[in-house]
Amino acid sequence: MARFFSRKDPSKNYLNKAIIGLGAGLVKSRKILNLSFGPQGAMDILSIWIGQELAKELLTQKKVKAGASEHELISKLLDEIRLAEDLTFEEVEGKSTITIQNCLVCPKRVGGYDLEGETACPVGGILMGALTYIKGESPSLPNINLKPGEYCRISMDITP
Amino acid sequence: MSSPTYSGLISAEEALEREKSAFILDKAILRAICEEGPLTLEDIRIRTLPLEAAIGVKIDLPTLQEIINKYIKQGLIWENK
Repeated sequence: MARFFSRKDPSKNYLNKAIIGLGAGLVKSRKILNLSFGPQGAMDILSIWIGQELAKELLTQKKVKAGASEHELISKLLDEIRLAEDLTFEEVEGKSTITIQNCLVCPKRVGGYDLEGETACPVGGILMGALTYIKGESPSLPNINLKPGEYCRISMDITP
Repeated sequence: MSSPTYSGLISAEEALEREKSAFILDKAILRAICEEGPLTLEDIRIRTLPLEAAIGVKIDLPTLQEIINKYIKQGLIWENK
């Protein structure tokens, strides 16, 4: 098990705020956009692309190497993007479970928006996009299961 | 022996409402099965191809099967062997 911590840094808050705005906007506009799978479905797709772009930038800036381990990548993402103050990465029988405490991109908890019973969590998608990009071409989709709550649990099967 | 098929035990609307926070692939599978079932695994794979293109990540059969099995256990769909 590995536990990663990152601290709030107001000088680097812009990306966090952009992601919060995106989530809140998807919830508020879900009816006029006629989102087939709700705001969470839209956020899943968009955040996978965001994760891939973040991984590309980490590679470009030589912050991670191609083929980096999940641990390395998550650690670096938290350093650079600060998705959460506390993220635990646990691997049991080939299944990786990520538990997020004090998420820093939650439209509800951090942004203070009323999500009207919806969710728009980008964390699973960002991690999936980044992990699959770093793994190389034609990656398989990891299975993601989000259980929202005070502490959000995201189970990801990222077994190669 | 023919391939098993999968059918919904609740409507697609109910399934999507219940699984609001589920990942989009789970929702796409539930919608396909609950709206159009009975479907084989291969039918479901064909219906998730547009999603594969939208996210740019491969969706393989074992991943689909794992999600289907999860919803069988939860009683949202059933398998007809």
